[in-house]
Amino acid sequence: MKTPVVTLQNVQKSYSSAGETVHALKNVSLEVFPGELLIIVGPSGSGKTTLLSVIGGTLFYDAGEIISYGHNLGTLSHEELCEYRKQHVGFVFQQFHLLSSLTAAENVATPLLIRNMEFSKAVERAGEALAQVGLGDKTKRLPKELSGGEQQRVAIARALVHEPDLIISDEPTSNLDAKTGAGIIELMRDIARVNGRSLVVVTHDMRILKYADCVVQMDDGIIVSIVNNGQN
Amino acid sequence: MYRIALKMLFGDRTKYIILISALTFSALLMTEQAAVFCGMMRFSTAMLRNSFAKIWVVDTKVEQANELVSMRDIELYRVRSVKGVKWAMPISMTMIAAKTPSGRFLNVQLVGLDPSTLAGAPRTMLEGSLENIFQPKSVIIDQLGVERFSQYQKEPVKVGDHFEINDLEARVVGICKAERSFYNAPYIYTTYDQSIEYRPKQLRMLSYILAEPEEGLSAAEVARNIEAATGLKAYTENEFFWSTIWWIFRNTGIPISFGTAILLGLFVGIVVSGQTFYSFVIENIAHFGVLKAMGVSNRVLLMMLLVQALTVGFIGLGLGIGAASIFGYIFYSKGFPPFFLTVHLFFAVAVSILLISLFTVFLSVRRISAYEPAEVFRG
Repeated sequence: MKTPVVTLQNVQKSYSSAGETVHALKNVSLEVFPGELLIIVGPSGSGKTTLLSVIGGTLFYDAGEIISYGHNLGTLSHEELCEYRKQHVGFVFQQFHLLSSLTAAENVATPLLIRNMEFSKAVERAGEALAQVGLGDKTKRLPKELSGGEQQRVAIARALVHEPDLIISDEPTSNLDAKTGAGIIELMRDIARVNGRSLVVVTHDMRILKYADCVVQMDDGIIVSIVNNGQN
Repeated sequence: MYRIALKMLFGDRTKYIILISALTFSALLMTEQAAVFCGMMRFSTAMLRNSFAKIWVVDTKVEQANELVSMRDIELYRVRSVKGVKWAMPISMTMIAAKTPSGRFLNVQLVGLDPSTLAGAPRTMLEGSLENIFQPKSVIIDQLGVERFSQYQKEPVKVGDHFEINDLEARVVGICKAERSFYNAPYIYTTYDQSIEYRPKQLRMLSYILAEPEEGLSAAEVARNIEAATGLKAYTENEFFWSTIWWIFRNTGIPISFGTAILLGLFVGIVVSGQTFYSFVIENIAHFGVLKAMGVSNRVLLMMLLVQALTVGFIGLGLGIGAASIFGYIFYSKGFPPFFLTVHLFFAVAVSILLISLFTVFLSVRRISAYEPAEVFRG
């Protein structure tokens, strides 16, 4: 029996929008296990991205408790949350969000530079990470010189290069064709399994659910179902 | 991270060039206008440096160095009798038309020096000897005089040439170095008595009395003694300098005119670079958000913005000052327009550009600080 690395208990989060309070998360409880690919699905406005954000430590929540890799996220200050994200979390975004003026290697090296690694060493490590995602020959390309799939691979390498415990990904395949999307999610799963990292992915892409260890269905701020594939 | 900040900045070529251009223009305009203004202020006080004296005694109504209100000759003896005055010498000065060798008329500033001491004489002779001034109908002209008198002639004016002042012969016995005056008219030096010959006759001919305090007494102290004893106005050199500058501020539109141009440079720098840098930050807000999500703190992001803003600031400052210096080098050698770029001026412009750069960061930093990293997920 594995021990969860991230535990959410009765987490609540609400927003004020146009004078109305929107309850994005209503008493959400969830566990994420090491080496697990957890996919969150649900209609728009169901609270998927909010859930992803609070797990990733990019958003404060109103009530409940999140224990992630030994940190109680609700008790951390802004600076401590920055440090938490720096040490434990890697991000892969729907829009890739690569810095257009940096080469692929420099983009991947960014999390290492944030940790004050020397530039040349960071770029060298970034080259290794790019090789891991099959882009070892494109380290000096600018993002605009890469295809959508390649850009997402660069983003994955960037999320992995500092060896985080948890990878948070929002719609990683939505801007990619079916074949490329399947390749990307397979790559993410394989990398997670090999290194015992946990992946939490939000998606609308039902084609990738078959790769999940656990699928969480959300609707209107609550988890309506959790389906495990039997591994945990 | 600062390398990434610079790559982000240099990567957006259009905005980078606009920022550099705005700051260069701003630095150039501020430097050039301020340097020309300082040059004009130097012109306006040139007499004080051309005829050096610790104390300048003038008519009580005189407020600035270019104002000529003649005094009675007896005032010289009254000043000499004041306690603490080591010596006092007369200078006569007037603006008068001279007839050039080519037959044209030219306004000159005729300076009459005390023949016994030559107090107030030019300090650097380029050709000829100062003592030649004692010869009858002799004058020493400055470089501007050479230039102006040589116009419309094949050969430049040289020692030994003649021209006319008030229909009287004036023979060039020397060429001196002198700072240009506010009126941009050449200085012609001669003896006091000779200058009276040249000038149209009037009751009062004495323009200034140059005085020296006795050892152990300050110029200011003796100047106050002179004022008390004679009722004349006595300035130390420094007092006369600043009195002249403030007179120009109070009585002419020159400071407003130049000040407006300098403020325009500052305004253009603030508006264009502020707007461009803000837009650069807004266009990159998602990237800054990504960096925040990765764990970059607001403090580090602020430092990144400062690096970006100060980089364009320093480049713009360097280009602007450089362009202004080239402008000055070209025109200073010609002597007009006046151009006087001081270290103080350089630092003042540098501080202005620094403030503009900090202002651009101030405009943008709040947006970045308020930007939640979770917003990156919302696209």
